[in-house]
Amino acid sequence: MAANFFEIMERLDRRWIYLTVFVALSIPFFIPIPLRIEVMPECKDLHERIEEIKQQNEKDPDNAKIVLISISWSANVQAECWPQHEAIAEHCLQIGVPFAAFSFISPEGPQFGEYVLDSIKRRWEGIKDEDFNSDDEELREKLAPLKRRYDRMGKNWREIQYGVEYVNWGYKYMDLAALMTMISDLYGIFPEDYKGAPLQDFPMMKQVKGFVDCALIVEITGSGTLLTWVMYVTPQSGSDLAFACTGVMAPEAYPYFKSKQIIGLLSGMDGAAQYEKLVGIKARGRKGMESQNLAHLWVILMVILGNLSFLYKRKKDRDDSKK
Amino acid sequence: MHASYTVLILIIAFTAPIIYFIVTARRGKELYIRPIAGLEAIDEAIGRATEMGRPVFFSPGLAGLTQIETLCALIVLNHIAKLCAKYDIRVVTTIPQYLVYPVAEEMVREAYVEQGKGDLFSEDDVILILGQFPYAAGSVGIMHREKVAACFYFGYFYAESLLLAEGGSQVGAIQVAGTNSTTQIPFFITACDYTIIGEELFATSAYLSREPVMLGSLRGQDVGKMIIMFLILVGTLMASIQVLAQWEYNWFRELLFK
Amino acid sequence: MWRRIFISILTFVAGLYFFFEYVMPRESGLTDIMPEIGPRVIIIGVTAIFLGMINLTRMHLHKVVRRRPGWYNSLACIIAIYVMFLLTVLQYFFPKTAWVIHTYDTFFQYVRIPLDATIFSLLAYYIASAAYRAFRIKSVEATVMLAVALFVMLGQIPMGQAITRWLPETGYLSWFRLENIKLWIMDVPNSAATRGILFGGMIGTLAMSLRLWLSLERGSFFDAEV
Repeated sequence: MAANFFEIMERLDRRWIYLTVFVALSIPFFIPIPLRIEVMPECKDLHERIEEIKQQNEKDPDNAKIVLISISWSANVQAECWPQHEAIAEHCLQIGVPFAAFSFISPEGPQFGEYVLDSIKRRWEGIKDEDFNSDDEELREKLAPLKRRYDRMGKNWREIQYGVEYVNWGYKYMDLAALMTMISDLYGIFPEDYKGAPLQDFPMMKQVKGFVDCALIVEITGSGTLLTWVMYVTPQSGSDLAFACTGVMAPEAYPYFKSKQIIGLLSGMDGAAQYEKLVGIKARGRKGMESQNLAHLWVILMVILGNLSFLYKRKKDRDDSKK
Repeated sequence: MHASYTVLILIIAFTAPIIYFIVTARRGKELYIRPIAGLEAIDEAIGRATEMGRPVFFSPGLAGLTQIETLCALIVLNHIAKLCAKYDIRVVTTIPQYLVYPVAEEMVREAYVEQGKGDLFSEDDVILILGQFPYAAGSVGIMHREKVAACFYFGYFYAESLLLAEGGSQVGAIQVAGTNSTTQIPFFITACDYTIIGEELFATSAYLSREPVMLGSLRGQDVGKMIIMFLILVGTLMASIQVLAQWEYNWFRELLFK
Repeated sequence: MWRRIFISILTFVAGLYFFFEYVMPRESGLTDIMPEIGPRVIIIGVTAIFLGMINLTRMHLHKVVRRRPGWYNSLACIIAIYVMFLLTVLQYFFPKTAWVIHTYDTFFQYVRIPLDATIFSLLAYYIASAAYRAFRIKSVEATVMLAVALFVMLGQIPMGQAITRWLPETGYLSWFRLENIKLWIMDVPNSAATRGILFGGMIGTLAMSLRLWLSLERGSFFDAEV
């Protein structure tokens, strides 16, 4: 019986593996799996840095700095990069750190920047004002991070003030020289935002001359764009750099986190889920982790089964040759 | 950021050996490069394709023409195309970068003409497919339709690496990869029969091209790596001594940042 | 001949500027020219994109006109490129015209995004199948690789982390929590290997830049008319 099973496993058609992975990925869509997300230092550090920027801006409002999100992701990697983008944008909006978004490698980037904000707005629409002061302690605790926005803005907390809280610079094809120009002269490259309005006229952009006025640059990507920032831009602009990337790109980024050339690192959907936990939301990251969790376990199980059948076959071959 | 004095000295230290060895090689001095194991794998794969009478597939990765990996990949493509021409089989190449496309086409054509098999070359065998995932999907489709017997992936790859390698595995092709893309090496190792890792890619192309500039440059790069190794060793030693002896000041560290 | 000399001199002078801009102190004034260069580089880049479009059109049109095998795929490709291009241009000039926005959004949200995401998502299936076939404990090295992979995978997911959650969060024993083992693997052996490969790659890039700058890169590539 067992022998038969291992023989089948050894000859297993790859399409069966595809099918079972599909099932493992789909189960959490119907049966939610409660998961406890552990927040790792590389995620915590990024969260703390944005909180610090808030405090610095409060102390010195005349010299307020912004966070810049570089959208180097597109449709293909949206499963991992969208939740990262959403969690970081949500954090900035919650505490009132102005942030800008732009793209230099993904023409669709600015469009996705808008979709992400729409998604945040849609999620907020499901929250009633009275929920912030609800008798339900659990609900109050859950909404505590967002309450900071409610306390600051009152009834209009659902409206994202374009130009004050957030600006979308748009996309421009650029080479290294153009990106380096933006360190001190942003408006030479981006005179207008993505809709064609003069960028310098927006209140939050008044004190921004270039990357030098971005306290933190968050590169969200599925590509190898990290070196461009680490080598050429941030050492010159003096900005901190955080890297949010697809899971597969993360190993390449760890050396830079260790050497403090990047101050925060979100790795794939797991990184997004950790950040979501810190900002008190359950969006695409934490929901997606349920599927990823099960699929990972399934792959581990398949690898173990594959090895057992391999060992069985090797033993059988040896026995046969002895005979 | 402008260069510090240390950086300036390091630039000179890294570039001087490269220039020196290039000049030496151009003057005709023989520079030895050990035989590359991956080349045998290429020969073997083409041999199998010849036996089966099927074409081979080549991908030069996603990087542009100004990246060293692509230039190395094109040299390997030229070598593979020559072998294919010699054995009368086709090499189907898909290119994801518009600037690489004409160069690749020219190199394959040249290889066939050089072997006296110009009529075997078809422009349709060098295919431009722009965009990362359209490229992966298109390439896998071609592998299936052409029933390729061998697949070669040389250059710099991103997430398309496994899509290509698994596609090749589905058609039962022998697969040889060569990349220094650290994030994709594990995928190639799991899905390919042979993988040339990291700088062996550069060595492979220098070995194949026998261009004095490439050979000299490779030797110069080795000297650069030795300098780095020396700095790492001394740096680690000094940092350890600093901790053990509880020094407040590490002159070596200060020197590097000066 | 003259053309080549001209290109070599131009390349050298341009490279010289970037080299000196980097090594000379800021007071040299070379950095001040930088903002003038950026926008010009963009123009060159955009021209190259058009070059790509022309190449692609030429290639596929050739196939359609000569009725080569699969010519209808080429036709579909040409139509897709130009329809999307046209819609993007229209959207720029008529940002408030409903049908333009609607058509663009439909193509973008319901064709482009799902197609791209689908191809990327195939990786999940492929990696499972590749891992199943290739992760075999054939040798000591393969066994070590498998063990490391299992630690990283388990340390990455909450259900894996739950296995060692009973261990304390601080102190020496916390090192054995799966998420910390994963972090150590990523931080130490992975970083070391990545740096090693990166050093080699970077020196390779430096060497190539030098060869291009000094117009030493000859032979296979740049002698040919492109």
